[in-house]
Amino acid sequence: MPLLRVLHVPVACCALESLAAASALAELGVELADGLGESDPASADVMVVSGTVTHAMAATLREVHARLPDGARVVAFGACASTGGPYWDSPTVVQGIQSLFPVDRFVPGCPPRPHALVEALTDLFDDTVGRR
Amino acid sequence: MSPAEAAETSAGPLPAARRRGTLALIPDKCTSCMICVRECPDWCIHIESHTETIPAPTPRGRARTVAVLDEFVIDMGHCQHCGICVEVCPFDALAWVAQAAPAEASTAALRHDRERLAGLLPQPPRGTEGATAGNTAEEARR
Repeated sequence: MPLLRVLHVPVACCALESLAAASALAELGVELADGLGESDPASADVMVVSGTVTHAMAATLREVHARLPDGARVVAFGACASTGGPYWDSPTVVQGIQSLFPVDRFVPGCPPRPHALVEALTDLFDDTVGRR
Repeated sequence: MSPAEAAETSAGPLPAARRRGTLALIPDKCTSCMICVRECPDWCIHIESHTETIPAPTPRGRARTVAVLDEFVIDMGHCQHCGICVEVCPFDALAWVAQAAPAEASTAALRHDRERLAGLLPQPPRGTEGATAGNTAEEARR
């Protein structure tokens, strides 16, 4: 039984970095589930969005977010998910996922290092995984 | 070593001198020339400055106009950490520091202002990582 279930939504290159944190997260009792696959968002404690979110993808993300249980947190991993990043003037890119739903942590970096995700999650859940 | 650190350093610790964590500013070196602002591919640097006139030092001399830095903001929410600003600064007012910028609860907090950028300590030489206490902008200038 994991301490924390993460619904990982890989939408672009930052996902390579967040997935590289998987083994370090597993040691902390954090389980990474694929948010665009078969995993059920209803069992997740936190959703991590890694990568550039296009307007074409926004509806899917909203749908996944709507299926999260009440009180689930959201982490924007990387510059694109946080603010649009280098695509700040692109008409096709969502300028940060907080325009779609509330976000609890913004992780800076293009991409951030893998352990930045570990730090963001231990900070956000300092009463569970952060305690270890 | 925590699992987080193990993940970071699984291929051996990265030499501190090569680490690109986040950006720091030495405000006293900045002349508000705006070169970094224009070269930044993300346009994530914002500078505010004003000009001051220094009176002529002698009766035959001329008054000089100098730019004075008021505010220097790097929006880490947009920054690609490409280092172009560090490379192009003719006055070495920007520098890399080893520690990464932390995650924040709002995008506004990702905008690192002059005070925050200047408060980051310059990178210690390799092997003295962590021994940053006591470093000041004054020492960085040497």
